[in-house]
Amino acid sequence: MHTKPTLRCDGVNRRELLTIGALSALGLTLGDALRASAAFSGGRGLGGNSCILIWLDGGPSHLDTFDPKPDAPSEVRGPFSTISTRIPGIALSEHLPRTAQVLDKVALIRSLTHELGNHDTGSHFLLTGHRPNPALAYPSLGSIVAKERGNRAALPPYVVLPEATSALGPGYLSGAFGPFTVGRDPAQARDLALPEGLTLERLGERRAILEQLDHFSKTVEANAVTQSRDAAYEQAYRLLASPEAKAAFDLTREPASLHERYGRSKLGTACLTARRLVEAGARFVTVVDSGWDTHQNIAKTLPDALFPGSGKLPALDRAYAALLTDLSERGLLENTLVVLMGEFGRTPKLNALGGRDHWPRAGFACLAGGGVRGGQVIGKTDASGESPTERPVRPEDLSASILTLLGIDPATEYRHPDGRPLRLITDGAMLKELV
Amino acid sequence: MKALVLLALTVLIPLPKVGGGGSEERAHRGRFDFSSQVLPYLTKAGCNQGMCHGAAIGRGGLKLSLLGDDATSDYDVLVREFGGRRVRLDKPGESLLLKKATGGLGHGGGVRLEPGSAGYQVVESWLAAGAPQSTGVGRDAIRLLVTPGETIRSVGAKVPLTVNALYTDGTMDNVTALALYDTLDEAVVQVDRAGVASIRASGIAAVMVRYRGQVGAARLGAPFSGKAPNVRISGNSIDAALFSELARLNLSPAARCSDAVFLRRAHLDLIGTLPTSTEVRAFLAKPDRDKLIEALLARPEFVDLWTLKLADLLRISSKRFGPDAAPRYHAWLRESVAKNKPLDRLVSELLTEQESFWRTSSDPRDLSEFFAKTWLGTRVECARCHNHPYDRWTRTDYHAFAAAFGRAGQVPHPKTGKPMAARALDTDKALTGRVELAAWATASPRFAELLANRLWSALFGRGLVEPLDDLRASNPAIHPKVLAAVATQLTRSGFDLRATLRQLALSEAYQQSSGNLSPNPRVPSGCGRSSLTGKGGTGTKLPSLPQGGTTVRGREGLGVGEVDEKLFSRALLKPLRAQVLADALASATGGSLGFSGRAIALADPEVPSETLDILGRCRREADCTPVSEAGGLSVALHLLAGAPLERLVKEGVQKLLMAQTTDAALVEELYLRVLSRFPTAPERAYAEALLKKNRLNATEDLLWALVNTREFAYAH
Repeated sequence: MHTKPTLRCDGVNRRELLTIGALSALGLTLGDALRASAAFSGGRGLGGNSCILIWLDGGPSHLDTFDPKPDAPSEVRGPFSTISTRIPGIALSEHLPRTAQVLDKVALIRSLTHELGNHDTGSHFLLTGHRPNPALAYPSLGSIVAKERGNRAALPPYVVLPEATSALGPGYLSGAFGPFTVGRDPAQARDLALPEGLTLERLGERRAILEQLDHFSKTVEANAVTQSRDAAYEQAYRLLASPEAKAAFDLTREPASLHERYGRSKLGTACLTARRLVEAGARFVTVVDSGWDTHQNIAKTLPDALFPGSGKLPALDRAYAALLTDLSERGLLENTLVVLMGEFGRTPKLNALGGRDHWPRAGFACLAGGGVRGGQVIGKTDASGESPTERPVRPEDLSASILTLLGIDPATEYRHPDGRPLRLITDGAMLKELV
Repeated sequence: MKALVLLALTVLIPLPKVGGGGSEERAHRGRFDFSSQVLPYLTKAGCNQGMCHGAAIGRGGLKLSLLGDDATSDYDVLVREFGGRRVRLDKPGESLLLKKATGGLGHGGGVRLEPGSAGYQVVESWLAAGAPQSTGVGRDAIRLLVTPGETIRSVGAKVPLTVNALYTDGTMDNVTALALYDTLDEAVVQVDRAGVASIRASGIAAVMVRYRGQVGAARLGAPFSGKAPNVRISGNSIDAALFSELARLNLSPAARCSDAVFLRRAHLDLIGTLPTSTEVRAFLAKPDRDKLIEALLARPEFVDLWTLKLADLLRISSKRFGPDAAPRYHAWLRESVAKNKPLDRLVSELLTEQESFWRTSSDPRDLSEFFAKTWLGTRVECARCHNHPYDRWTRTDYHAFAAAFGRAGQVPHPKTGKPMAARALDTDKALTGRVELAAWATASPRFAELLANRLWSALFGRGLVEPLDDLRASNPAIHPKVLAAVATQLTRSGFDLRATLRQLALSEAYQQSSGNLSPNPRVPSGCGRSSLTGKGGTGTKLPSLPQGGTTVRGREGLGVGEVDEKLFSRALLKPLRAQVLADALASATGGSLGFSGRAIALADPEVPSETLDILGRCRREADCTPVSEAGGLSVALHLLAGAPLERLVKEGVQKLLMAQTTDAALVEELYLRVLSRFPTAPERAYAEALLKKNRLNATEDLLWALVNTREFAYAH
């Protein structure tokens, strides 16, 4: 590998990184570093071996979910009342009753803040830990984990349910670390069930023929360029040939009653699949739940106003609470970090259509499991949920925390295919109170 | 090195004597200038780099401008902020500034200036002189002269660089000791703080040089070992440029590729479409490469492919521009390509006639960045917030250029808040309207170079400059003369896309083999490089067992294990983009993937196709990055076990079996349509033996296997 100086706007290059050292650059003290390195050495120190990220695509309203303002004027308060939770003094929206009962497992961040109010840019910021840079595509957290932690069993390390956006991709990393997506139906992975007429046995025969043909053909031989493709083919064969791995994608193996607990919604189904995948060895599973861009009529779209299952909040409430409970009952929560977030919060005042618009200045994120100390609230917004008043948390801090909890040092340096060194997360610091 | 520092010192600053108060000393004092004489020492010491006090929020309570780009603010911060607590004019050595810089008082950045060093002495003397700001002797650097600008030595050689700065007042200083140095390829060249480069390996690489907002580069390298290369003679100016560059590095170009390889490569690169079996037979029977290229340039698929590439650049989609404007925008583009509209005119029209372009983004700053990157290969975005650390753009340059993309007065200067008057990059030329913007942009030498680099990359699999759209004095092309030759050809042809592609495609450079032995015994000239292994390049001795585990063969100039990945002494493997791969699968199997027509002809990336999405089609939401790798796990699964492919295979085989009566003909047809070549004898024997068992199943298996071969996955 050759080296080019990094071409970041701040002009930091690798030599500078080496001379200054990673510590001061990250704003960490020596104590932090020692604690962190203990975690990095074994990969288990801080708990999380795997991660389930529930991505609320579109930007979930903080005011109508996890940071309600019951005492604010009605145009801020919105149409919903609040309920108390397992954390004394902390209330949630009335439409999250199940979540309220598991909040003792959750570290609730109420002061997530940034300034990118477009879906694309905001998503990129939260999912990669970097502001979008037109010159460089950054890898998603899942791709970083795939690269750092590799495969367990025959399962792909990084899965997105059901489909990935570009912010969930491998960025400048090799395509080998991109997400495996199952396609439209989260209950059934695409291309895993062999098509009619193709048996595993015949696939094996075909593979032998393919290897023979590849061997004959000296025009393109295996080399550094073909490496990631060759690796993907290997992985595909392993996956197709592993009943256990394929079974992990097969929801019919779960009792119907458990599926009911998660809910039959797309989100509930995907969360249950995510649990199966993590159980079977996947490292990072992102569940994408779309429909949170609620510019209109939240009184109708958020609760089950039209028919059971029509609203975003009850579906989320069921799926999220069931996931935490299920993981906990199976003893998996300790080693599974569950993150719930979206790209930004929403405007404090309801708009003329009874909805809320984009509001990156304040939002929420929930972390549970994987060594996170539950039952706490981090940060605070003002009386109308407009800006953080305590402990503002930046997307970089959140990404650094997630990676640290998964045993990956956010100061790790990668190489751009051009050879430039690139730090996983810049300017972010682990939220120490999480552990 | 010491001599260099002293030399620089004597040129820059006559050291004032401490004490005394005569007129001579006042004269010295009068000649101090913070910005040009003191600040560069702090920059060299690294105080204001991005990781330290140059960070946007500073560090440890001290915030300096990045690399000293704002001397006025830095002066205020160092001398005046907090009541001037950072300096002590009576006892310079006691100043916080010097104590911290020498590693005292718990400085997080450690020792940046050794006591007694040149930098230390300058800062100390300046403080002793009363820390003057500027007394009219300050000068701005306008250009850097780096010597040697280019040299080929041997591995292990040390090359001290000399850097002279040319100033606004016409004077010149040796600033070798104060410039910043970075290698662009550590494996080939390293460089130390004093500007002494060491050549570590064969090849060529640039060292980036920066001083006070100006940038330059030196290209240094060493030849490969081995015997003197053969230089192939060609009348093509691009060949002349490339082969003389390779000869200096002792590299022979790879052997000429076989006709079959050329046919497939030219099809995929120029029209994004595989040749049919009939076309392969016809060409191999009468291989005329000139005629082939001529025919390809006239094909409708040529228009499809190059419209697709341009539409990717312009990010045309119904999602972005709406269901009415997007088709109009696309139709204009397609017609422009079909008519072979000169590319400078195409971009002029883009700016002056295509409203959609102006709606790509609503922010003039974003739009100016998008335009500069896409068509001028200039990444100005860093200068949005601070002067560009790797290029010469200042914040003022940036906002003045951005103003050309907004309404009058829409773009204020970030510091003064005053509306900026639109100005071109690089010159003082005012841009009074879109017509002027278009005229300036398309006449810029960077426009021709950027296009040349893009066209080169489309055919050669990698830019002469990488990244493709990052042309800077501090990021020179791997072969600057080749880039210049292509740009000259492009300009001389009147920005004629087809004429330039013709010259590139017919160059010997393009016709090099990709470096593996050809399996095609029917083509005795072979596609193999003239091999040192003595096995011959024709592939007549095809082994059925691996050869001792080495896949890299030696060649003149390259030892075993050395593979040239970026000097263009061989062809590179190019993964197929999603649409080309989809069309190739359809044409190789003889089936259809569900959408009407060919994938490369689809105007809108929103047209639903699960296969195209899995294969990685760019949705044009942001930059469509060049396809650098064949797909990952989802692609592999889709091609190995996906229902759409299985359907294609089954459909294709039905038709094949009806048309082909003998096994030999069947095998030949399969190889021709999938791999664009005849099968070799062992391939024939193997495949025909398979067919003996169960003809239907075996044909399906063979077709499935052929489209999953490595050879199929790349343009090679």
